[in-house]
Amino acid sequence: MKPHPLSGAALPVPQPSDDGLDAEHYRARRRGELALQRCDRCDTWQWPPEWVCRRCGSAAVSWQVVPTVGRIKAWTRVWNPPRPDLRDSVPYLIVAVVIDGAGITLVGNVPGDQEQQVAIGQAVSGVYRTVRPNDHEPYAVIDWVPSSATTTES
Amino acid sequence: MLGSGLPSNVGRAAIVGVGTTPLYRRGTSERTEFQLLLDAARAACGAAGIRTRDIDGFSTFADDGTDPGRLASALGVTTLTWSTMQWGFGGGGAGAAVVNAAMAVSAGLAQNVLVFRAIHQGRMGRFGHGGRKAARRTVTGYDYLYGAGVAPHGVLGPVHTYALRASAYLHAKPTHAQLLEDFALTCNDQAQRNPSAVRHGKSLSSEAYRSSRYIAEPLRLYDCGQETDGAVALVVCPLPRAATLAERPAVVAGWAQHGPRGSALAVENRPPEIGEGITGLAATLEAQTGVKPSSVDVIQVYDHFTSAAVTALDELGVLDVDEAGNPTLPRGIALNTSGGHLAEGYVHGLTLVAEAARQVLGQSPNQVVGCTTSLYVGPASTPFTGLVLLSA
Repeated sequence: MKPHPLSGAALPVPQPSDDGLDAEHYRARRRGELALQRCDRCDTWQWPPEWVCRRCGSAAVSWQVVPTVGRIKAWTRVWNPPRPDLRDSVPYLIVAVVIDGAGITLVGNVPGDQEQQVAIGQAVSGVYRTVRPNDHEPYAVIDWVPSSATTTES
Repeated sequence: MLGSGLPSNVGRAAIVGVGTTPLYRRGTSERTEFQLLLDAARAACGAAGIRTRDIDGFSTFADDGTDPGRLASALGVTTLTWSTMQWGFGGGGAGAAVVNAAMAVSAGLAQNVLVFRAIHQGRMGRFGHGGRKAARRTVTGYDYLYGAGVAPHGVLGPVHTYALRASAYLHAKPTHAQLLEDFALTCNDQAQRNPSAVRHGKSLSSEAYRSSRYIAEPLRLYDCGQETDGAVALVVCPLPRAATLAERPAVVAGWAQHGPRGSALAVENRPPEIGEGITGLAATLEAQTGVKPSSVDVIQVYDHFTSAAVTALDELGVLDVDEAGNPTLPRGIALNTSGGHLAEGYVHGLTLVAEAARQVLGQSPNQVVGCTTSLYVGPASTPFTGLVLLSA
């Protein structure tokens, strides 16, 4: 499969925050799972993470693994290189995906042909891609595959 | 003058002088950022009929990097009694910087407050490219625009964030796509009557707009604001002294600044019920002053992107409808009369505030005859944005 155009792009490497707030999210991602916060008291899901529930204020928030399934709520295809060194990485797709059940939005990319048509409302499912920077430990990101996409890739 | 609904410790102030430097294409000004700021400050004081040493307060926003001590010294300020920075959230603070000044002078804590902003992209890093944030090697935390949830996926500048929101807006309201073009053409047309505008002398046709290259779909080149070096300064004084300095001082007559719950989070997670943040501002303005945005003479709306401006006009409730039932830009209100960010230049919103003031002062190169009410509206989709109503 053709490497994603952003794989070698030296994009900012996501790191857990020093205070441990999102450590569980990153641990889960390394296992190939999506962990999100949910309030133990009022069952509200939240993203980004916080030490308290933003809805009811409870400090009892815990992490739960959810299926990486959702729907596209917004998308863009970037044509203009945002940095000179990204000249060979455009065009690339960015999607905002509402996660089924949890209702929060995650942003990610789409594998394959970057000029494919995607649509708001389209169902997508997540696949993990390992990014291997020259100067950092490898890390995983979730790409979003439209459910109606074919799976034949060269 | 409007019967102001503002409380008395805010609403007895006016902008009496405006100074703007020439606006240079990004990174090309040979004046440094600090020199540009001094130029604008001197011009604003000259317009106000005061000396720079009479400035006794500063009010700025958007993490402006100026050292206030250095600025005070360079201007020869006799005594500084007020120095505020609107906290957080970029261009959404331009109007608030005016109101912070208005509060100070209305309360008698200062007499001549300089509101300012200077940008030299050589120093700040190129906005359109996300500057330093795009180039950093790691990212931690969930900044409202460029945090760890988005930057690793290629969201590296405002255009990407706003393109995502524009895709959703146009999906929900496909008949509004034409308004983006109309707005771009309107701003460019306005710039033809402003010799200082970057696009002055440059026409923009529908064909040129539609065929311009995509930056990030659905936003094309001409959907995106200019990137410029420049500085803007305004002088705010209390009434009644303001009336001795300017024939028609631009009175701060109304104000709203809101960050509704959920707006300050990573922007992709804004709850749908708060829209893009402008609806609540219009409601506050009307409750405060009795003025509906649809009744003002002129609006300067934050137009870093056509989609943001159109969204804001939509949420303000000022869009009209034509005979076929399609939405149109407001027909009875002049928009972005100096060309806006799209065609005049960009100093984080303060060029728009300056033009809003000039329209009331009677000093705009593209003057709306008989303008008495002038609205500045901050950026849609930012966490904490605002509007300011100025009146004669």
